[in-house]
Amino acid sequence: MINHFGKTWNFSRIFLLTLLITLFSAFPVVTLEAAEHETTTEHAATEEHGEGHGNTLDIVHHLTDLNNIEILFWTFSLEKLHFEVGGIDMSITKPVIFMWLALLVLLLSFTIPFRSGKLMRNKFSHLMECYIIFIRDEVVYANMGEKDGRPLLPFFLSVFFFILTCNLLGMIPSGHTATGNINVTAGLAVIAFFTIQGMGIAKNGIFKHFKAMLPSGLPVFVIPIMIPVELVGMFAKPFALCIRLFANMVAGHAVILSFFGLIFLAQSIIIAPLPLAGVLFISLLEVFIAHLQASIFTILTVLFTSMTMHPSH
Amino acid sequence: MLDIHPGLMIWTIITFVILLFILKKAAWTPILKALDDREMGIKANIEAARKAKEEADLAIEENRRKLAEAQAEAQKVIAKARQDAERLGEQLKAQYKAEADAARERAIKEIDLERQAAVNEIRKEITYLAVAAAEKIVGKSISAEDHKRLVMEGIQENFN
Repeated sequence: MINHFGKTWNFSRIFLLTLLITLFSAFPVVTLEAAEHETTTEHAATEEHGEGHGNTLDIVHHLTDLNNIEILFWTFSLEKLHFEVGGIDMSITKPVIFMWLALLVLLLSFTIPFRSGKLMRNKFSHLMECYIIFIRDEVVYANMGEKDGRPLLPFFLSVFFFILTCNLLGMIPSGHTATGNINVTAGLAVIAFFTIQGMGIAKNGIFKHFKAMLPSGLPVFVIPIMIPVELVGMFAKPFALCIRLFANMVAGHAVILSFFGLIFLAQSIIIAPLPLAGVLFISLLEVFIAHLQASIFTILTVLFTSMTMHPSH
Repeated sequence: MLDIHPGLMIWTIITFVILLFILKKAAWTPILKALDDREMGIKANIEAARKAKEEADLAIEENRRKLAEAQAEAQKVIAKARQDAERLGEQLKAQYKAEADAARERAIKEIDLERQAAVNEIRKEITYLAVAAAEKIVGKSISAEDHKRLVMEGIQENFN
Protein backbone atom coordinates (compact mmCIF):
# COMPACT_ATOMS: atom_id res chain seq x y z
CA MET A 1 0.00 0.00 0.00
CA ILE A 2 1.56 3.27 -1.13
CA ASN A 3 0.11 6.49 0.24
CA HIS A 4 -0.01 9.82 -1.54
CA PHE A 5 3.34 10.88 -0.27
CA GLY A 6 5.27 7.97 -1.66
CA LYS A 7 5.94 6.25 1.64
CA THR A 8 5.08 2.62 2.00
CA TRP A 9 2.78 1.82 4.87
CA ASN A 10 2.53 -1.85 5.51
CA PHE A 11 0.02 -3.41 7.83
CA SER A 12 2.50 -4.22 10.61
CA ARG A 13 3.55 -0.60 10.87
CA ILE A 14 -0.04 0.60 11.22
CA PHE A 15 -0.75 -2.20 13.67
CA LEU A 16 2.21 -1.30 15.89
CA LEU A 17 1.29 2.37 15.86
CA THR A 18 -2.29 1.62 16.83
CA LEU A 19 -1.19 -0.83 19.52
CA LEU A 20 1.05 1.84 21.00
CA ILE A 21 -1.78 4.36 21.06
CA THR A 22 -4.07 1.78 22.63
CA LEU A 23 -1.57 0.92 25.36
CA PHE A 24 -1.14 4.59 26.14
CA SER A 25 -4.87 5.09 26.29
CA ALA A 26 -4.98 2.24 28.79
CA PHE A 27 -2.93 4.28 31.29
CA PRO A 28 -5.72 6.48 32.68
CA VAL A 29 -7.90 3.42 33.17
CA VAL A 30 -5.14 1.62 35.02
CA THR A 31 -4.42 4.61 37.23
CA LEU A 32 -8.13 5.07 37.75
CA GLU A 33 -8.37 1.47 38.83
CA ALA A 34 -5.43 1.88 41.16
CA ALA A 35 -6.94 4.99 42.72
CA GLU A 36 -10.23 3.20 43.06
CA HIS A 37 -8.50 0.32 44.74
CA GLU A 38 -6.79 2.61 47.23
CA THR A 39 -10.00 4.38 48.13
CA THR A 40 -11.89 1.13 48.52
CA THR A 41 -9.20 -0.39 50.68
CA GLU A 42 -9.29 2.74 52.82
CA HIS A 43 -13.04 2.38 52.91
CA ALA A 44 -12.67 -1.26 53.79
CA ALA A 45 -10.41 -0.33 56.64
CA THR A 46 -12.76 2.31 57.98
CA GLU A 47 -16.20 1.09 57.01
CA GLU A 48 -15.41 -2.63 56.80
CA HIS A 49 -16.37 -3.03 53.15
CA GLY A 50 -16.53 -6.47 51.60
CA GLU A 51 -13.53 -7.93 49.81
CA GLY A 52 -13.36 -7.76 46.00
CA HIS A 53 -15.14 -4.46 45.71
CA GLY A 54 -11.79 -2.84 44.88
CA ASN A 55 -11.75 -4.65 41.58
CA THR A 56 -14.70 -2.79 40.13
CA LEU A 57 -14.02 -0.28 37.41
CA ASP A 58 -16.13 2.81 37.44
CA ILE A 59 -16.63 3.48 33.72
CA VAL A 60 -19.45 5.93 34.24
CA HIS A 61 -17.31 7.92 36.61
CA HIS A 62 -14.51 8.02 34.03
CA LEU A 63 -16.91 9.35 31.42
CA THR A 64 -18.71 11.79 33.69
CA ASP A 65 -15.83 13.21 35.68
CA LEU A 66 -15.52 16.71 34.30
CA ASN A 67 -13.31 18.23 36.95
CA ASN A 68 -10.07 16.31 36.66
CA ILE A 69 -7.73 16.12 33.69
CA GLU A 70 -5.58 13.02 33.91
CA ILE A 71 -2.34 12.91 31.99
CA LEU A 72 -0.61 9.57 32.55
CA PHE A 73 -0.10 9.50 36.33
CA TRP A 74 -0.82 13.15 37.01
CA THR A 75 -4.22 14.58 37.73
CA PHE A 76 -5.03 18.25 37.32
CA SER A 77 -8.05 19.46 39.18
CA LEU A 78 -10.29 22.13 37.65
CA GLU A 79 -12.19 22.75 40.91
CA LYS A 80 -10.67 26.22 41.25
CA LEU A 81 -12.18 27.32 37.92
CA HIS A 82 -15.74 27.07 39.16
CA PHE A 83 -17.73 30.30 38.97
CA GLU A 84 -21.21 31.48 38.24
CA VAL A 85 -22.49 34.28 36.04
CA GLY A 86 -26.00 35.49 36.69
CA GLY A 87 -26.98 32.33 38.48
CA ILE A 88 -25.70 30.07 35.69
CA ASP A 89 -22.82 27.77 36.52
CA MET A 90 -20.15 28.85 34.03
CA SER A 91 -17.41 26.58 35.39
CA ILE A 92 -14.50 25.84 33.14
CA THR A 93 -14.80 22.07 33.05
CA LYS A 94 -13.00 19.37 31.11
CA PRO A 95 -15.09 19.70 27.91
CA VAL A 96 -14.51 23.46 27.87
CA ILE A 97 -10.75 22.96 28.19
CA PHE A 98 -10.82 20.41 25.39
CA MET A 99 -12.95 22.65 23.17
CA TRP A 100 -10.35 25.39 23.63
CA LEU A 101 -7.70 22.84 22.84
CA ALA A 102 -9.60 22.00 19.66
CA LEU A 103 -9.77 25.70 18.83
CA LEU A 104 -6.01 25.98 19.35
CA VAL A 105 -5.30 22.84 17.32
CA LEU A 106 -7.47 24.11 14.46
CA LEU A 107 -5.94 27.55 14.56
CA LEU A 108 -2.44 26.08 14.37
CA SER A 109 -3.45 23.51 11.75
CA PHE A 110 -4.89 26.04 9.37
CA THR A 111 -2.47 28.89 9.74
CA ILE A 112 1.08 27.55 10.06
CA PRO A 113 1.00 24.91 7.28
CA PHE A 114 -0.94 27.29 5.04
CA ARG A 115 1.12 30.42 5.64
CA SER A 116 2.31 32.42 2.65
CA GLY A 117 -1.07 31.72 1.07
CA LYS A 118 0.23 28.86 -0.99
CA LEU A 119 -1.34 25.45 -1.18
CA MET A 120 0.42 22.11 -1.22
CA ARG A 121 3.36 23.32 0.81
CA ASN A 122 3.54 20.15 2.86
CA LYS A 123 1.86 16.84 3.52
CA PHE A 124 -0.33 18.19 6.28
CA SER A 125 -1.77 21.04 4.26
CA HIS A 126 -2.33 18.61 1.42
CA LEU A 127 -4.35 16.37 3.75
CA MET A 128 -6.36 19.30 5.13
CA GLU A 129 -7.03 20.45 1.59
CA CYS A 130 -8.61 17.06 0.87
CA TYR A 131 -11.00 17.60 3.78
CA ILE A 132 -11.79 21.16 2.73
CA ILE A 133 -12.45 20.17 -0.87
CA PHE A 134 -14.64 17.28 0.29
CA ILE A 135 -16.75 19.60 2.43
CA ARG A 136 -16.86 22.24 -0.29
CA ASP A 137 -17.67 20.10 -3.32
CA GLU A 138 -19.39 17.00 -1.96
CA VAL A 139 -21.28 18.53 0.94
CA VAL A 140 -21.96 22.25 0.50
CA TYR A 141 -21.92 22.82 -3.27
CA ALA A 142 -23.60 19.49 -3.97
CA ASN A 143 -26.56 20.32 -1.72
CA MET A 144 -26.82 24.11 -1.82
CA GLY A 145 -25.28 25.08 -5.10
CA GLU A 146 -22.22 27.26 -5.49
CA LYS A 147 -24.05 30.59 -5.31
CA ASP A 148 -25.70 30.04 -1.92
CA GLY A 149 -23.00 27.75 -0.60
CA ARG A 150 -19.98 30.00 -1.04
CA PRO A 151 -20.85 32.59 1.67
CA LEU A 152 -21.79 29.86 4.15
CA LEU A 153 -18.73 27.74 3.41
CA PRO A 154 -16.60 29.13 6.28
CA PHE A 155 -19.39 28.30 8.72
CA PHE A 156 -19.81 24.70 7.55
CA LEU A 157 -16.07 24.17 7.40
CA SER A 158 -15.83 25.43 10.98
CA VAL A 159 -18.65 23.11 12.10
CA PHE A 160 -17.04 20.10 10.45
CA PHE A 161 -13.52 20.71 11.68
CA PHE A 162 -14.60 21.71 15.18
CA ILE A 163 -16.64 18.52 15.65
CA LEU A 164 -13.97 16.38 14.00
CA THR A 165 -11.23 17.79 16.21
CA CYS A 166 -13.34 17.43 19.35
CA ASN A 167 -14.10 13.82 18.39
CA LEU A 168 -10.49 12.98 17.64
CA LEU A 169 -9.13 14.63 20.78
CA GLY A 170 -10.94 11.87 22.66
CA MET A 171 -8.90 9.28 20.80
CA ILE A 172 -5.64 10.70 22.10
CA PRO A 173 -4.47 9.07 25.32
CA SER A 174 -5.57 11.19 28.33
CA GLY A 175 -7.86 13.05 25.97
CA HIS A 176 -11.50 13.82 26.44
CA THR A 177 -14.31 13.86 23.92
CA ALA A 178 -16.06 17.18 24.34
CA THR A 179 -18.74 16.02 21.88
CA GLY A 180 -19.40 13.09 24.21
CA ASN A 181 -21.21 15.53 26.48
CA ILE A 182 -24.83 16.29 25.65
CA ASN A 183 -24.50 19.95 26.62
CA VAL A 184 -21.78 20.48 24.04
CA THR A 185 -23.77 18.79 21.27
CA ALA A 186 -26.81 20.75 22.42
CA GLY A 187 -24.81 23.95 22.02
CA LEU A 188 -23.85 22.88 18.51
CA ALA A 189 -27.46 21.98 17.77
CA VAL A 190 -28.56 25.45 18.92
CA ILE A 191 -26.06 26.96 16.50
CA ALA A 192 -27.37 24.67 13.76
CA PHE A 193 -30.96 25.60 14.62
CA PHE A 194 -30.29 29.32 14.37
CA THR A 195 -28.39 28.84 11.13
CA ILE A 196 -31.16 26.76 9.58
CA GLN A 197 -33.92 29.20 10.56
CA GLY A 198 -31.81 32.33 10.14
CA MET A 199 -30.70 31.53 6.60
CA GLY A 200 -34.28 30.70 5.63
CA ILE A 201 -35.46 34.06 6.97
CA ALA A 202 -32.55 35.93 5.40
CA LYS A 203 -33.20 34.37 2.04
CA ASN A 204 -36.99 34.35 1.84
CA GLY A 205 -38.14 36.94 4.38
CA ILE A 206 -39.79 36.11 7.67
CA PHE A 207 -43.35 35.77 6.35
CA LYS A 208 -42.52 33.56 3.38
CA HIS A 209 -40.17 31.49 5.52
CA PHE A 210 -42.87 30.45 7.97
CA LYS A 211 -45.51 30.17 5.26
CA ALA A 212 -43.27 27.81 3.30
CA MET A 213 -43.24 25.43 6.25
CA LEU A 214 -46.83 24.45 5.48
CA PRO A 215 -47.21 22.44 2.31
CA SER A 216 -49.35 24.31 -0.18
CA GLY A 217 -52.68 22.90 -1.29
CA LEU A 218 -53.56 21.59 2.14
CA PRO A 219 -57.21 21.39 3.07
CA VAL A 220 -58.04 24.16 5.54
CA PHE A 221 -59.05 21.80 8.34
CA VAL A 222 -55.62 20.11 8.29
CA ILE A 223 -53.74 23.36 8.95
CA PRO A 224 -54.36 23.44 12.72
CA ILE A 225 -52.87 19.94 12.93
CA MET A 226 -49.98 20.74 10.60
CA ILE A 227 -48.79 23.81 12.49
CA PRO A 228 -47.80 21.92 15.64
CA VAL A 229 -46.39 19.07 13.53
CA GLU A 230 -44.18 21.44 11.59
CA LEU A 231 -43.18 23.24 14.78
CA VAL A 232 -42.14 19.94 16.36
CA GLY A 233 -40.25 19.08 13.15
CA MET A 234 -38.46 22.41 13.32
CA PHE A 235 -37.05 21.57 16.75
CA ALA A 236 -36.74 17.84 16.20
CA LYS A 237 -34.11 18.24 13.49
CA PRO A 238 -31.45 19.92 15.67
CA PHE A 239 -32.49 17.72 18.60
CA ALA A 240 -31.75 14.64 16.49
CA LEU A 241 -28.40 16.16 15.47
CA CYS A 242 -27.57 16.71 19.13
CA ILE A 243 -28.49 13.20 20.29
CA ARG A 244 -26.90 11.43 17.31
CA LEU A 245 -23.49 13.03 17.80
CA PHE A 246 -23.54 12.64 21.58
CA ALA A 247 -24.66 9.00 21.55
CA ASN A 248 -22.16 7.95 18.90
CA MET A 249 -19.28 9.54 20.73
CA VAL A 250 -20.21 8.13 24.14
CA ALA A 251 -20.91 4.65 22.81
CA GLY A 252 -17.45 4.14 21.37
CA HIS A 253 -15.71 5.16 24.57
CA ALA A 254 -18.05 3.06 26.68
CA VAL A 255 -17.23 0.03 24.53
CA ILE A 256 -13.48 0.67 24.76
CA LEU A 257 -13.66 1.05 28.53
CA SER A 258 -15.80 -2.08 28.78
CA PHE A 259 -13.13 -4.03 26.92
CA PHE A 260 -10.53 -2.77 29.38
CA GLY A 261 -12.93 -3.70 32.14
CA LEU A 262 -12.79 -7.30 30.96
CA ILE A 263 -9.13 -7.47 32.05
CA PHE A 264 -10.03 -6.40 35.57
CA LEU A 265 -13.09 -8.58 35.59
CA ALA A 266 -11.02 -11.64 34.75
CA GLN A 267 -8.32 -10.55 37.22
CA SER A 268 -5.73 -12.07 34.97
CA ILE A 269 -3.04 -10.66 32.72
CA ILE A 270 -3.24 -13.76 30.52
CA ILE A 271 -6.57 -12.70 29.10
CA ALA A 272 -5.30 -9.18 28.35
CA PRO A 273 -4.40 -9.66 24.62
CA LEU A 274 -8.01 -10.52 23.81
CA PRO A 275 -9.63 -7.32 25.15
CA LEU A 276 -6.67 -5.38 23.79
CA ALA A 277 -7.37 -6.72 20.30
CA GLY A 278 -10.99 -5.67 20.81
CA VAL A 279 -9.91 -2.22 21.93
CA LEU A 280 -7.63 -1.95 18.92
CA PHE A 281 -10.50 -2.77 16.61
CA ILE A 282 -12.93 -0.42 18.35
CA SER A 283 -10.30 2.35 18.35
CA LEU A 284 -9.92 2.07 14.60
CA LEU A 285 -13.70 2.08 14.31
CA GLU A 286 -13.83 5.14 16.58
CA VAL A 287 -11.50 7.08 14.27
CA PHE A 288 -13.87 6.26 11.43
CA ILE A 289 -16.94 7.15 13.53
CA ALA A 290 -15.31 10.47 14.50
CA HIS A 291 -15.05 11.41 10.83
CA LEU A 292 -18.44 9.97 9.96
CA GLN A 293 -20.31 11.82 12.71
CA ALA A 294 -18.57 15.12 11.97
CA SER A 295 -19.53 14.83 8.30
CA ILE A 296 -23.08 13.67 9.10
CA PHE A 297 -23.65 16.64 11.39
CA THR A 298 -22.33 18.95 8.66
CA ILE A 299 -24.23 17.29 5.81
CA LEU A 300 -27.53 17.37 7.71
CA THR A 301 -27.06 21.01 8.71
CA VAL A 302 -26.31 21.84 5.07
CA LEU A 303 -29.38 19.90 3.93
CA PHE A 304 -31.72 21.51 6.45
CA THR A 305 -30.35 24.97 5.66
CA SER A 306 -30.74 24.30 1.97
CA MET A 307 -34.33 23.16 2.58
CA THR A 308 -35.29 26.35 4.37
CA MET A 309 -33.48 28.49 1.80
CA HIS A 310 -35.15 26.74 -1.13
CA PRO A 311 -38.58 25.58 0.02
CA SER A 312 -39.97 23.30 -2.65
CA HIS A 313 -43.57 24.20 -1.84
CA MET B 1 -22.40 13.68 30.84
CA LEU B 2 -26.15 13.53 30.59
CA ASP B 3 -27.01 16.08 33.30
CA ILE B 4 -28.15 19.41 32.00
CA HIS B 5 -25.45 22.00 32.36
CA PRO B 6 -26.45 25.23 30.60
CA GLY B 7 -23.08 26.81 31.34
CA LEU B 8 -21.33 24.23 29.21
CA MET B 9 -23.80 24.82 26.40
CA ILE B 10 -23.12 28.55 26.54
CA TRP B 11 -19.37 27.87 26.60
CA THR B 12 -19.79 25.69 23.50
CA ILE B 13 -21.61 28.45 21.66
CA ILE B 14 -19.06 31.07 22.74
CA THR B 15 -16.14 28.83 21.75
CA PHE B 16 -17.69 28.03 18.41
CA VAL B 17 -18.44 31.64 17.58
CA ILE B 18 -14.87 32.66 18.47
CA LEU B 19 -13.56 29.74 16.43
CA LEU B 20 -15.73 30.71 13.49
CA PHE B 21 -14.54 34.32 13.52
CA ILE B 22 -10.87 33.53 14.00
CA LEU B 23 -10.78 30.73 11.46
CA LYS B 24 -12.76 32.72 8.94
CA LYS B 25 -10.26 35.55 9.12
CA ALA B 26 -7.09 33.50 9.51
CA ALA B 27 -7.82 30.35 7.58
CA TRP B 28 -10.92 29.90 5.48
CA THR B 29 -10.79 33.13 3.51
CA PRO B 30 -7.16 32.77 2.34
CA ILE B 31 -7.38 28.99 1.85
CA LEU B 32 -10.61 29.14 -0.12
CA LYS B 33 -9.22 32.00 -2.18
CA ALA B 34 -6.07 30.02 -2.91
CA LEU B 35 -8.20 27.03 -3.92
CA ASP B 36 -10.32 29.20 -6.19
CA ASP B 37 -7.25 30.79 -7.72
CA ARG B 38 -5.66 27.44 -8.35
CA GLU B 39 -8.82 26.04 -9.89
CA MET B 40 -9.18 29.13 -12.02
CA GLY B 41 -5.56 28.73 -13.11
CA ILE B 42 -6.10 25.07 -13.93
CA LYS B 43 -9.24 25.91 -15.84
CA ALA B 44 -7.40 28.61 -17.78
CA ASN B 45 -4.56 26.20 -18.49
CA ILE B 46 -6.95 23.53 -19.69
CA GLU B 47 -8.66 26.09 -21.89
CA ALA B 48 -5.34 27.25 -23.29
CA ALA B 49 -4.25 23.68 -23.88
CA ARG B 50 -7.50 22.90 -25.67
CA LYS B 51 -7.12 25.97 -27.81
CA ALA B 52 -3.53 25.05 -28.62
CA LYS B 53 -4.65 21.54 -29.48
CA GLU B 54 -7.37 22.86 -31.73
CA GLU B 55 -4.84 25.08 -33.48
CA ALA B 56 -2.42 22.23 -33.81
CA ASP B 57 -5.19 20.03 -35.20
CA LEU B 58 -6.04 22.71 -37.71
CA ALA B 59 -2.39 23.06 -38.68
CA ILE B 60 -2.05 19.31 -39.05
CA GLU B 61 -5.20 19.17 -41.14
CA GLU B 62 -3.87 22.03 -43.27
CA ASN B 63 -0.53 20.33 -43.69
CA ARG B 64 -2.19 17.05 -44.56
CA ARG B 65 -4.36 18.79 -47.11
CA LYS B 66 -1.37 20.60 -48.59
CA LEU B 67 0.59 17.41 -48.73
CA ALA B 68 -2.26 15.65 -50.48
CA GLU B 69 -2.51 18.54 -52.89
CA ALA B 70 1.22 18.49 -53.54
CA GLN B 71 1.09 14.77 -54.10
CA ALA B 72 -1.78 15.11 -56.52
CA GLU B 73 0.11 17.89 -58.26
CA ALA B 74 3.22 15.78 -58.47
CA GLN B 75 1.20 12.87 -59.82
CA LYS B 76 -0.31 15.14 -62.39
CA VAL B 77 3.08 16.53 -63.37
CA ILE B 78 4.53 13.07 -63.67
CA ALA B 79 1.61 11.86 -65.71
CA LYS B 80 1.85 14.87 -67.96
CA ALA B 81 5.60 14.43 -68.34
CA ARG B 82 5.12 10.79 -69.21
CA GLN B 83 2.45 11.68 -71.73
CA ASP B 84 4.64 14.40 -73.22
CA ALA B 85 7.58 12.08 -73.37
CA GLU B 86 5.49 9.41 -75.04
CA ARG B 87 4.09 11.85 -77.51
CA LEU B 88 7.51 13.28 -78.23
CA GLY B 89 8.87 9.79 -78.65
CA GLU B 90 6.11 8.94 -81.07
CA GLN B 91 6.71 12.16 -82.93
CA LEU B 92 10.42 11.60 -83.13
CA LYS B 93 9.95 8.03 -84.17
CA ALA B 94 7.63 9.11 -86.94
CA GLN B 95 9.98 11.85 -87.94
CA TYR B 96 12.98 9.60 -88.03
CA LYS B 97 11.04 6.99 -89.87
CA ALA B 98 9.98 9.55 -92.43
CA GLU B 99 13.49 10.85 -92.73
CA ALA B 100 14.88 7.40 -93.07
CA ASP B 101 12.30 6.57 -95.65
CA ALA B 102 13.08 9.74 -97.57
CA ALA B 103 16.78 9.03 -97.38
CA ARG B 104 16.24 5.51 -98.70
CA GLU B 105 14.03 6.78 -101.46
CA ARG B 106 16.63 9.33 -102.32
CA ALA B 107 19.37 6.77 -102.25
CA ILE B 108 17.38 4.42 -104.42
CA LYS B 109 16.69 7.24 -106.78
CA GLU B 110 20.35 8.25 -106.85
CA ILE B 111 21.40 4.72 -107.36
CA ASP B 112 18.99 4.50 -110.26
CA LEU B 113 20.27 7.69 -111.75
CA GLU B 114 23.85 6.59 -111.28
CA ARG B 115 23.04 3.28 -112.88
CA GLN B 116 21.33 5.06 -115.75
CA ALA B 117 24.29 7.37 -116.13
CA ALA B 118 26.66 4.46 -116.01
CA VAL B 119 24.62 2.56 -118.53
CA ASN B 120 24.57 5.59 -120.79
CA GLU B 121 28.28 6.02 -120.31
CA ILE B 122 28.88 2.41 -121.10
CA ARG B 123 26.56 2.67 -124.03
CA LYS B 124 28.45 5.72 -125.30
CA GLU B 125 31.74 4.01 -124.70
CA ILE B 126 30.57 0.91 -126.50
CA THR B 127 29.39 3.04 -129.39
CA TYR B 128 32.77 4.65 -129.77
CA LEU B 129 34.49 1.35 -129.43
CA ALA B 130 32.18 -0.20 -131.95
CA VAL B 131 32.69 2.69 -134.31
CA ALA B 132 36.39 2.51 -133.84
CA ALA B 133 36.31 -1.21 -134.38
CA ALA B 134 34.11 -0.85 -137.37
CA GLU B 135 36.44 1.79 -138.80
CA LYS B 136 39.27 -0.49 -138.41
CA ILE B 137 37.37 -3.31 -139.97
CA VAL B 138 35.90 -1.32 -142.76
CA GLY B 139 39.06 0.57 -143.15
CA LYS B 140 37.53 3.58 -144.20
CA SER B 141 35.46 6.13 -142.77
CA ILE B 142 31.94 5.99 -143.67
CA SER B 143 29.85 8.99 -143.81
CA ALA B 144 28.38 10.35 -140.77
CA GLU B 145 24.96 9.43 -142.07
CA ASP B 146 25.84 5.94 -142.66
CA HIS B 147 27.77 5.77 -139.49
CA LYS B 148 24.83 6.81 -137.49
CA ARG B 149 22.46 4.49 -139.23
CA LEU B 150 24.76 1.59 -138.83
CA VAL B 151 25.25 2.31 -135.16
CA MET B 152 21.57 2.55 -134.57
CA GLU B 153 21.01 -0.61 -136.42
CA GLY B 154 23.72 -2.27 -134.42
CA ILE B 155 22.34 -1.03 -131.20
CA GLN B 156 18.90 -2.18 -132.04
CA GLU B 157 20.17 -5.54 -132.94
CA ASN B 158 22.33 -5.89 -129.92
CA PHE B 159 20.16 -4.42 -127.26
CA ASN B 160 16.74 -5.43 -128.27
